[in-house]
Amino acid sequence: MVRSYTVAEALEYLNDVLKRDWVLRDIWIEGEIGGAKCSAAGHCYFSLRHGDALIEAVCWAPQLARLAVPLRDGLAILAHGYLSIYAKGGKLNLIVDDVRPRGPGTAAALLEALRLRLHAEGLFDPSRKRPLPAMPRRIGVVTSHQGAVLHDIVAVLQRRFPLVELLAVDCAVQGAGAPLAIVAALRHLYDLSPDVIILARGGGSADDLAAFNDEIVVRAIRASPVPLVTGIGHEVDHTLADLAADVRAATPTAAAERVTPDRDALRDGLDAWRRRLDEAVDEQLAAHATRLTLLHEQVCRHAPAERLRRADDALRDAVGRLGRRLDAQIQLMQAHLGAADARLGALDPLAVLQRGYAVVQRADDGTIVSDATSLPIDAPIVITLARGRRTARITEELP
Amino acid sequence: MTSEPESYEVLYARLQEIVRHLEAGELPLADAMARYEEGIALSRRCRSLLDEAALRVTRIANPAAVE
Repeated sequence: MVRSYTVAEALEYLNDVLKRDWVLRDIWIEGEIGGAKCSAAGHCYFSLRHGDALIEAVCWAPQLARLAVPLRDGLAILAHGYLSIYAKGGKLNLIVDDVRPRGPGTAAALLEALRLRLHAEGLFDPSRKRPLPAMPRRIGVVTSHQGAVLHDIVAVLQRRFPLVELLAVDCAVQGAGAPLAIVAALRHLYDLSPDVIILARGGGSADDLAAFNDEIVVRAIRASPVPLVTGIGHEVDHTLADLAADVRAATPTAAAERVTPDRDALRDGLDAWRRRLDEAVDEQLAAHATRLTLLHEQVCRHAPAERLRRADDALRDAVGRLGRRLDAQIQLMQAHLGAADARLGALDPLAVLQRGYAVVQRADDGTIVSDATSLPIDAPIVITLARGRRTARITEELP
Repeated sequence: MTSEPESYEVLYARLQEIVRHLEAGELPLADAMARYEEGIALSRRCRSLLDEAALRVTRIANPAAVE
C-alpha cells in the first residue's frame, strides 16, 4: 500500500525533519541582504544571496529589535537561525534571530548605523545635556582600578578640590565583559547618588574603546540620574558614550578638571567676599556714626545752657520789638497832638477878636450876650476888644 | 553614608548671604556686628577647609564581578 499525504501534512513532516536536524535547526548562513522590507507588524522580510544562490529570510519583530546590525540591502552578513517551510506558498525560509557583520569596513558601518539609530531616538540631544554642579561634594568614578587613570583623577582632585568624597567603582573597561561591567558599575553608583559621575578610560586602540560604543553602555549613561562626564581615551577619540554623556572631556584628567572648581580660584573668590564683608560692615558703621552725629546735635539743642541762651535771645528780641512799637505810637500821638493844636487855635476867641470882632457881656452878671433883646435901654455892658475892655450903656434899640 | 554638617558650599553660601544682607541696608548695630563676626568666622572656616582638606577616596569593587 502506498501511504499518501496532503500537501499540508507533507510540509508539516518536512518542518519536523528540519527542526530535528542538528545543522539546520541552528545554522549560520553567510550572504548579502537583498529586498529587505518591513511589514506593518514590524517583521522584516529579506533574501540572503550568495552568487546565484538565494534563500528567503524573515526576522520577527522581537528579534529584529535586538539586532546589532541593521538589515540593509547590500550588507554582507552572517545570519543565524533555523530553517522552516511556510505552508502558504511552500517556500523555505530562514527564521533569523541573530546577525553578525561580515567583511571589511562593516564594523565602522555598524557603528555609524547604531549612532544614527540612537541619534534618531534622541539619546544625543543637546537639550538633554545637564549642567555640572558648581561644587560637588561626592564624585563617582567608573574606571579600571588597574592602570594610571584612577591615580591621575585622584591627583587632579587632590590638587584642585580635595573637599570631595570620591566613590571609585572598579570596572573592566575592555574585553567582552566590559559593557556589562560598566553598566553594573554605573547602576551601583546611581544608587549611591553622588553629585556627578565620571566615566573614564585611558587611551587605547579603537577595539580597546569598543565597550564605550556598546548600546547598553550608551543607554546606561543616558539613564544617569546625575550629570555624567566622559573622559575616554585621548583627544582624538570619540565614542557613542561621549555623545550620550552630559559633558565630554577629552581625557580622564580633563574630566576630573571639568567636575571640580579650582582651589586657587575658590581662594580668590573667598578673598573677594571677605573684602565685601569688611566694606559692608564699614558702611554699616559709617551709617551708625552719621546717625549718632545727628542725634548728638539734637541733644545739644535741648541742653539747659543752650535753652537759656535762646530764651535770652528771644527776650531781647521781644524787648526790642516792644520799644520799636512804643516809639511808633508816641510819634503817632505827637502828630495827633499837633493837629489838635491847630484846630484849637482856630477856636481861640482872641484870634476872632484880632479880626475886629468884640465880646459883649452884661455888666451885672458877666453873661456873654448874643441876643439883643436881653439888653433893655440903659442896661450896662462890658465890651471886650482884642486889646482892652470898656463899659457902655444901651442907648437905643435898633431893628 | 557620611552627612556633611560643614560643607564648603554651605559655609560659602552662608558667607555670601551675610555679606548681601549687610550690603542691603542698615541693621541694628549689634545685629550688624554679630553678622560681621559670623562672616569672619565663616571665611576663616572656608579658608581652612580649602587649605587643609584631604581627598577621601572610597574604592568599590565591581558589583558585576561579585558572584
